[in-house]
Amino acid sequence: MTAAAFTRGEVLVHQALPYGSEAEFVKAGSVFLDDDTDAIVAIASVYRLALLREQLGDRLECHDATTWFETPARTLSTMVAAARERWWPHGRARVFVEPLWTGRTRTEIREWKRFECLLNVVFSETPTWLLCAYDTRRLPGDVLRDAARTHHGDGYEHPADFYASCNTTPLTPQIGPVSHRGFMRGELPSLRSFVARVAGSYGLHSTMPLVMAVNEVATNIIVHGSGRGQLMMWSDGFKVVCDLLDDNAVLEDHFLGFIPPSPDRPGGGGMWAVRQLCDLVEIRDAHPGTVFRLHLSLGNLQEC
Amino acid sequence: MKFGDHLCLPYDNHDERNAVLAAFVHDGLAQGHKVVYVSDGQSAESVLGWLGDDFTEAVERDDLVIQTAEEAYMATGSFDPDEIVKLFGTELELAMIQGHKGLRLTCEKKFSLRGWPGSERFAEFEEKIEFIFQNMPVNAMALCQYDTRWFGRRPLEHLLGVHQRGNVRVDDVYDDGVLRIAPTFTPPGLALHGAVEESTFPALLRALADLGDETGHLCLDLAGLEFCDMAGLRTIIGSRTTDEGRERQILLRNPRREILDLLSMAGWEQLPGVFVEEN
Repeated sequence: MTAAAFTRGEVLVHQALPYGSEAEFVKAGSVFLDDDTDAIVAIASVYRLALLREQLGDRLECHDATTWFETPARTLSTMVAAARERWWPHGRARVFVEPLWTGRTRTEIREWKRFECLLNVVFSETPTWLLCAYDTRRLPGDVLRDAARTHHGDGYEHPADFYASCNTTPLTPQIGPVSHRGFMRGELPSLRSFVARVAGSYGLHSTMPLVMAVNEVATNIIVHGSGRGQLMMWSDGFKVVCDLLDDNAVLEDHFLGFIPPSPDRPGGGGMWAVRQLCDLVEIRDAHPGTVFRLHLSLGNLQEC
Repeated sequence: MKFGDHLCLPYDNHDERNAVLAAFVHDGLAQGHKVVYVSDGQSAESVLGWLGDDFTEAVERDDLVIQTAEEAYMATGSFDPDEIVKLFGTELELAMIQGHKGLRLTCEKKFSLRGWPGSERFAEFEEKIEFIFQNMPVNAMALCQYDTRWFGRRPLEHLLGVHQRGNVRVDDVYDDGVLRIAPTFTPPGLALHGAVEESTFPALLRALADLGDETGHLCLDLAGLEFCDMAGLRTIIGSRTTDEGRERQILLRNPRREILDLLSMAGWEQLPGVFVEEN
């Protein structure tokens, strides 16, 4: 995409920048962000933010990548809020970002690739120019390859297709012992007590967010699914995981829960809340039925 | 309420008092009871003014008697608990002779603060009435109205404590063991206790719809709301528009931490017309 296309109207440009050296990173960022009127934003390591600020001055809005990339759903919300409050009031936003890939599990990496794809949906038709830096020296091959699928240019895939392909990977096996409970209409109060009790026994201090998330999914199954489901919970000592299974109805996952609810637009916002409250949410065809997997950290230190 | 009840109604706003008393009088007349209303000083016309015109006929038939405390209790020039207890017995007999099924008494107790001779024995009077109700089967019930804005804290605690069966309060709008909805009066609205979720959602919708759209302010007291799902939260926030499309302000009173967090997450507590009150 050219600057001309960009100036023609409200259009998202979402590009990937593979780089092989520090100097390349800083140079590309400085050139990209060199503009006097657009909002200019950098999201990277603290060290690199300092280098960029040296070049661009105090007008550059800086964010430490380690805190910016919380969970995919929350980061999306934060970005939309920031764009609405601080960036688009300028007219256009130029965002130079290095996503965080290190220290992530395979599951997390898949969900953060999905995040890149979702930017194409959530920010479409907005005056936003995203440039995402990818370190060709350090990142796994699949991360580099999939960058081409989620960024404008050769190999770009329609977001719905990429999103669906993320859902073809089966969920990892449950780790025993597993606490199990069936539920149907009218049984949500006892299901909530069960979740609070079991999660508490795993060491989760504040159980209400998980209770709310499980309640929303269970409500979804009761109201929009087959009317009854199964809950399975377990913990690996670092996080608690809940699988909610509707073994009959198939729930179509088209970016489900990534768009925030509007109080004036129909659509409950239940799945949106689930994605905000949990660290990760995975939805899969259960053959038959649908399974929703919710991940929530217990807040213990992670192993290195 | 039923025969043998000696209950108190502490209140700090007339809307709540009026609602409870209107129901008390209405139910009594409907059940064939004689109703005696002793006011602090207001005339019968004045009381009927807020009780409702439907009760005028009842007054004419002598099914509803409205007196001032002075008329009822100060005939001898002094407040004498024993005399008044005897009077109560006479009133009850009279009611039965007149063909009523029993007697409903209600009294605005503010008169006891006027310093009338003998009124220092007022607590003794309440205790004697309580004794009768506890120990004898009577076809009567008494509802003692205490305007809490007038009484000192300690005397009030003692007087309310004399009524061992406890308080009267306005009927709940809904209660199914999971969600209880009660009316609020200042400002008008609903108090939610328990959980708003899939099974109780229709009751919340109904209760909000029944409020109509007369008021420009709506209070939703959430102190007792332990759990609320997203559909419920949307509905609560959505109540800032009435069914007929009118805008109104909504006051969310004392939402719990988790509910407030959910609202903030969605950005809904900042919407125009939404106010959060925490005290």
